[in-house]
Amino acid sequence: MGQEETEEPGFPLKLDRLKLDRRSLMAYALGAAAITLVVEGGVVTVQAIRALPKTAAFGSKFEAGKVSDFPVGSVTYFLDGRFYISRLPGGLLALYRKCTHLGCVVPWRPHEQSEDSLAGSGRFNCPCHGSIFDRYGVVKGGPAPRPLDIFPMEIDGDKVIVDTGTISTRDSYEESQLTKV
Amino acid sequence: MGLREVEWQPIDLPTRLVALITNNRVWRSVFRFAYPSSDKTRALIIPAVFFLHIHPLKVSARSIRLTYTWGLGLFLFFLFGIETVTGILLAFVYVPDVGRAYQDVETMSTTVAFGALLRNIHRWGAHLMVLAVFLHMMRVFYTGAYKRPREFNWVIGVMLLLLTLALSFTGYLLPWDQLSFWAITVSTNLAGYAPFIGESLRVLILGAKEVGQEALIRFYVLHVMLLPLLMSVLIGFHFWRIRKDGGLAASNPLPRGAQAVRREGAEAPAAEEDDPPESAEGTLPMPGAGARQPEAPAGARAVPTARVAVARKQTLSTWPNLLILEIIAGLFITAVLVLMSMAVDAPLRDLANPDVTENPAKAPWYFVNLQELLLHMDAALAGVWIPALLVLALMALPYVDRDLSHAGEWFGTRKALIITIWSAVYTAVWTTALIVFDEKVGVRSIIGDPAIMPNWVIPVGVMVGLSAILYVSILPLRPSRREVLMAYFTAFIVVYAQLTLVGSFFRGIGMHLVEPWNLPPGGLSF
Repeated sequence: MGQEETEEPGFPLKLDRLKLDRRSLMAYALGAAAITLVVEGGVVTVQAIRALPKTAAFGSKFEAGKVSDFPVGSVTYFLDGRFYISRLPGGLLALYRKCTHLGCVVPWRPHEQSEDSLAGSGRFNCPCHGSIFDRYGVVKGGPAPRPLDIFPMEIDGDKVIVDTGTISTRDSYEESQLTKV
Repeated sequence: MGLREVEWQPIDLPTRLVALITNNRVWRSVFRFAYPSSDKTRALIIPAVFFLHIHPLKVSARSIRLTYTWGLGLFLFFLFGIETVTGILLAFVYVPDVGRAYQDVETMSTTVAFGALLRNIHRWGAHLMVLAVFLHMMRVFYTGAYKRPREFNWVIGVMLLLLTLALSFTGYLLPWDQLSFWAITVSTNLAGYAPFIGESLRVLILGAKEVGQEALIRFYVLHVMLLPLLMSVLIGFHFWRIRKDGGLAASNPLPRGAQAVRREGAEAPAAEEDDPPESAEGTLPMPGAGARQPEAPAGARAVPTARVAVARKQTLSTWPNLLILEIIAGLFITAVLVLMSMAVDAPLRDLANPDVTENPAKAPWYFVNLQELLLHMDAALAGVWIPALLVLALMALPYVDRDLSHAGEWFGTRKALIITIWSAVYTAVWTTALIVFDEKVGVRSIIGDPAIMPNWVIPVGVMVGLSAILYVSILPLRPSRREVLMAYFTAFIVVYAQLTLVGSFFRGIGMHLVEPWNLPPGGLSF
């Protein structure tokens, strides 16, 4: 740095060539042990504070009713499961209610103008920053960066089961995301 | 030390009662020294008493002028103390359980004796602390007090700023009302935009995929244990560094030649840190002060005696001059806070409801600026990149500005003051214009496609472009590097303040611009 810098005692550090006699080997071993301890402590800390999987309610498998409960074009809200079931022509989609922008709860507005061709009215409209989604969960306006996230589903007989423990993100709507009925 | 030789005398109130209390072995075992009544004892008592020994024996008169520091560092220290005391009292009532937390806070406000007052003090004190940290940072910046050898203490200061924000933020969730629930939801989702680690970081902070019991206990533990502990250590480090760096920057008003006096006796430089042989600033040695004066050529002997005489006049003994100021600062900030807490109640909305988002849902006010930024660009840019780069830039600042002149003076030069004012006006006008433009016209409505244009390219372009124009506009003044930094630091402060004000007072339902008097109920996030 500056030419007027005064020398501090002990600076600049003078590095000798690495020695490997008995004493320095022990010193290196001690240093290595100390570093290992710190790393282990870090790993233990991170592991210990990791989020635990849920065993009940949201985060577990959720029974949402019968297939026949959902006519095409309908959007049904499941408060406890925190998702909507959207019935599309090809099948069902379980949409996570959380806005992909900043996590507000996106309400279904049945009387607002529709953004898709399945019905004349109804869309998702987030109160926080005005993101708009259609029945496919696809962004039709506002700052949301991607469609609403979805949960995997299975049809057991005619029962619809939604796995709220697994949240899948997607960049666009594809036919393969549907659970066929 | 010679302290034992100080003859014991009761405080100069010759009553029998005082004598009775103080003239015994028990009292003297606690208070070893009499009330100091001479310059010598006033100096000797400082390093001999545990609660005083952080102080130097003498302080420069310039450095303790009110108009130099405005007492902000002291205010912060006392505010941290007040937060600790009131926080402990609140913790006796509060249980961090989603089924109980809100109810406990209500109990506190209605049933516990002085509970409402304590909660108000804790809440407003926290806000005041965030405000005071920013003012303190501005004071240190505009007085050039971060310069060598104080660079790293500035960096510690930035860490303390972050810790203050973290403490305030973790405390924000604890009342478990609609305000706290949605503020934390929005803010932690911002963190989720960090590249690669974002989502796992968010889940790690919350302990779950959404705000709930896991988040509450995590925030509680951080708020009452880990963060205060870190803060205490860093505050100690911050103070220790002030001592080791020779007091506040205004302590070194002497021109270069005269500072050489501090190196007198530099034959034994190793011992200097702890035991300076003789100080220019008084008749008594000042441990730590005067060490590491980088400008002084090693071994210089030039001692202009006239300067030394001046320097002596410029110092005051810590007892009583600094100690009185400290007591006044502590009493003043406590009084302000208590009065404010008696006048205004801390907010408590409805019980948190994860199923219904408040509209508008705002972050805590000191993050509302980021939320405001978010309306105009990509969330990752506004919520992660800009704040992260700003913090890095703040930390790097003292290493970029290596010019040592004018350290410890407000603004330093007249030109610097002009540049600061110009930058403030320039930034305020542009920020206002851009916010109104984006609301009334909207970048997205002009160039909405591809999305990268309104999200990244245009915002970054506008920011870089306006910064460049600011630089060019001050070039005719031939600014030094410090003065350029001043222009940019001022721009940062103005934008930060302005976005905070707009986000807090001018954003209503759906985050649309609205006059402050038309804000919907619950439109404020304090």
